[in-house]
Amino acid sequence: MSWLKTLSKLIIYQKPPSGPLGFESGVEDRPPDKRGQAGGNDGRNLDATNGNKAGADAAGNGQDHRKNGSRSRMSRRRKTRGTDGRENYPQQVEKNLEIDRIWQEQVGLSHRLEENGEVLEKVFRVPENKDAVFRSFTIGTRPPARAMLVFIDGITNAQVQNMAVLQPLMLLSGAGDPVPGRRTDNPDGDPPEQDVIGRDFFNRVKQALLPNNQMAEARTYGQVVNDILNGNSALFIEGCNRALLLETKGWHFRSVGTPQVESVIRGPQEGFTEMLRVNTTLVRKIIQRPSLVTEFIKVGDATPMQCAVMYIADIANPDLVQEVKRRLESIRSDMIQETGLVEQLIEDQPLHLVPQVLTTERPDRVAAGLVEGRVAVFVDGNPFVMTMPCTFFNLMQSPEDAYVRWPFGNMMRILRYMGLFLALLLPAHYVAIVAYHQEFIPTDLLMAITGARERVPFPSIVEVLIMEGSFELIREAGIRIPGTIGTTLGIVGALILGQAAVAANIVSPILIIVVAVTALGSFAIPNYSFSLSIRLLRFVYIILASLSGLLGILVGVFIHVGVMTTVKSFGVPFLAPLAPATRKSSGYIWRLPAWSQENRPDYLDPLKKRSQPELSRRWLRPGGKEDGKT
Amino acid sequence: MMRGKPVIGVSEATTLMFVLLLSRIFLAHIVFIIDAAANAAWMVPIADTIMALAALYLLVAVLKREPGLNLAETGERLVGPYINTGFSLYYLVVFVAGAGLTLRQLSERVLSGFLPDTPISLVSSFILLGSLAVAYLGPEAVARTARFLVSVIVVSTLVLIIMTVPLWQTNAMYPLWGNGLPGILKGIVNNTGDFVYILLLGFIYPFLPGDRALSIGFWSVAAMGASMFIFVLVAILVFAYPTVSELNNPTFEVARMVNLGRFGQRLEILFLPIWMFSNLVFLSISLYAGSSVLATLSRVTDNRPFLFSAAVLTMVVAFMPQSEPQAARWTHIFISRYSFYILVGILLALIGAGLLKGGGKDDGRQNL
Repeated sequence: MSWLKTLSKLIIYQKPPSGPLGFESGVEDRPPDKRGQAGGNDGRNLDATNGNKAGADAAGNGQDHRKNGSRSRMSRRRKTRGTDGRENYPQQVEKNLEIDRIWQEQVGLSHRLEENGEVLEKVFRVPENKDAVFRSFTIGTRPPARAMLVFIDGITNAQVQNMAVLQPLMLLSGAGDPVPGRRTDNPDGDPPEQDVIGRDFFNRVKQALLPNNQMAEARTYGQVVNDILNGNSALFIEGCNRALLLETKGWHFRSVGTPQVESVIRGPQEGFTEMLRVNTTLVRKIIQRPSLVTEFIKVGDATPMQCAVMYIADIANPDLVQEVKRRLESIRSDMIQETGLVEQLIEDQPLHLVPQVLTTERPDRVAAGLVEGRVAVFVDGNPFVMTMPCTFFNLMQSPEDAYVRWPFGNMMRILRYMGLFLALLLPAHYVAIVAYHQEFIPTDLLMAITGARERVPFPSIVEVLIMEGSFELIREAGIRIPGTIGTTLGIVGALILGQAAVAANIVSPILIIVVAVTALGSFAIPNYSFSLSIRLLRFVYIILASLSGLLGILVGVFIHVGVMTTVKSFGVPFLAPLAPATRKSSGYIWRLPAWSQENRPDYLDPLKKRSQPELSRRWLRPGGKEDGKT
Repeated sequence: MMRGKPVIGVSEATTLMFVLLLSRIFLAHIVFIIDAAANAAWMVPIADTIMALAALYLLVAVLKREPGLNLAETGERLVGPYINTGFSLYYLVVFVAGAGLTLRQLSERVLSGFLPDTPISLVSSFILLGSLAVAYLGPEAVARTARFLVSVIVVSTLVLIIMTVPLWQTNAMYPLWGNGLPGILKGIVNNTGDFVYILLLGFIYPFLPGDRALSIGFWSVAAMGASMFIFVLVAILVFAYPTVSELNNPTFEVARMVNLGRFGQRLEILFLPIWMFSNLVFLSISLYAGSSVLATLSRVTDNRPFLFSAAVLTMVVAFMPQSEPQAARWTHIFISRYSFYILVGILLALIGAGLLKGGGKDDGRQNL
């Protein structure tokens, strides 16, 4: 009858034996057949022992679980999850903590080259980690000195290292007088004393032997590790408890190209890249002013990300700058590799739908914001830069508004606001009018709409939700599918699906027009995050319209505006300068002529209020000359 | 949850007061003015505006005695808690009864004009819920909402007025003195209460900047007077007396009259935001003020626990009249006819009490 038992095991559901899950114990990182025997020096045996023990415990637990009741099972499961791998690998955890202490607690460097090497090998998990390179060599001075260059392969420029570090030290350093401070006897014998290689030798190497354009001194392992992770190389010299940090960054990055999501017809055609330094340079290229300040802040715990805070010191409000820095410095989170994540951690009211910082990929837009008195935050490895504070009217502006003449700028803004209105409220109005307010449609149009809807079996709300949902699906799929296929899918989806839906009498042709115009309206919104919030709120308005027609829409608008008035971006009301009204910011709602935009937005409270004098076109003066000048 | 002290700017406060006063135009009040003063009804808003400005001066004089306190708190300082309870109940009745009767009229209007098959309780609940939500966000949010939406209200109103120009019958203004001076005086005396909501200034006073209360009140009352003058005049010009006095809501009927050729009929839908937004602002700030009075009476610093109570009271009042005409009639009798005089009496009593107590302005409490 054993075959029956076997068959029953296959047919009847059996609760799987509970053991440590992969994500709980970390055992998934090792090969299945060699768990506990993976590479590694010190931790190898410990891991093996603990791993096996954990497995045995897990099996034992599994048996116990089957014997005990569900309460016991739950309790053990909680206990297993609560251990978080720490109890299974105590020595590994202890080792990690020790490394963290070395890294983070300003532990000083040793005079001994070997000791420095061992500590850094431990920090970088060598030899398992093949990225970290420890290049030992001899400086060709008379007498020679032992040295070591530490760096991460792949993020450094090998040519710079060869030509500006290794070659001068190994080949060219011998040409000249004997190096002062270097004792000629016992060059590589007993453990060096601090006086064997003195300060003079270190300074000589730093000042005369290395033709590197940027270098710094480090005295702790923390400084060294951070710089090495940042693409620099650390030079250690025997007998010296200091290291030279050499600028050798050299990873690959995308070159400056055209903006992908904020294109304009007239205006600069370059966008940010993933390189922090390139991005700050792009802005500095526009704002050639000594008061443009770039401060660097490391944000995040597990993988500290380099962020840059940029502002113009003689324009930006110091309180605003301080607040931005305070929020960035106070972030405690493992991974902040994208501006979107930083944005969510520094915004005033995370529960609101509207974005509270302006994210842009255009250097000219950042520069314009800085000149107004805003603060910009760059995140390394990200082609989007945040400027703050941000208001509703910022989100509806495009850089091109300023680059064309003011009547056209105004026309484009009006079109954009119309787009916003259509994107937010047009489907809701369709539902309201079709379901509740038929009498408000002119008779001819009513006949057309009624005739078109005659064969549609669904109520208008269902019809609208089907089409809007389908359109959102097409849009999402079009973004996820790569390149040309995405575009094709968008066109095919929109045309074929719409046509087929009409032919199948699922939706009316009028609705196809409504959905298409709504989509055009949402595309006219220049900010992606804001557009997302409008897309979401559109469904809320559709539901409100289905509940009580235009009354629902108007009550919804009232509440929506009320909620928006409470939103603040770094202390600045989201609807400024309209609500609250400020006197000198009217140009931020309408596009005024360039010569009349004399004031910076007063809601930013900048140190310099005026952006240009009252008479900015001095050539209008008699004689066309400026004061005191010819 | 702690909240910071709201700050209402001059522009927002002026707009809030203006929209609050303006909302009354869009209901049935104009009919009572025209009924009393006939063709000369347009004179009534001018005279009432002057009276309202005088009352405003008294109100600001009272408020200035105790900077940083609202009218109910000032009253307690000046006349003590017992008499002031009576005064506060008056403020509460003005706000809650006004809100309730307005809610009823607005709901009936929406029901008859836009949602004929919907139960009135649902319509009222929907409106009240929207008002309550914004009122909960505080007076700052209500004021800023009013500031944001005032452009919609003013632009739509101007468009509405301009579109009625072809319908104007200029001879409807004559006889210029209507039924004679007694009729005009009756209209003036019986409709002063349209400005009783200057009372709100007493409850947002602690949040206003510096000594701008008089300026805010002056401009809002002046703008309201001008608006009422225009709307009364337009109603007379479009419908002529006595037809206009038989209408339920002249402003709404004016909107129904306009059209753009054969295609653009029933354009009142375009002007629906005027009615809705102005009355929603009115209801929101009334709920806030009502809850603020209740909080003062209960000696609680935060008004929000009383918002729901104020909303329930408002709903109860809204369903007390049997019909919309009765709601309009009650509004005229209890709010438009008498409330203003009671307010003036209270203000005079407070000023008198202040003079008897001696001293002048606050003894430095504003600096706390």
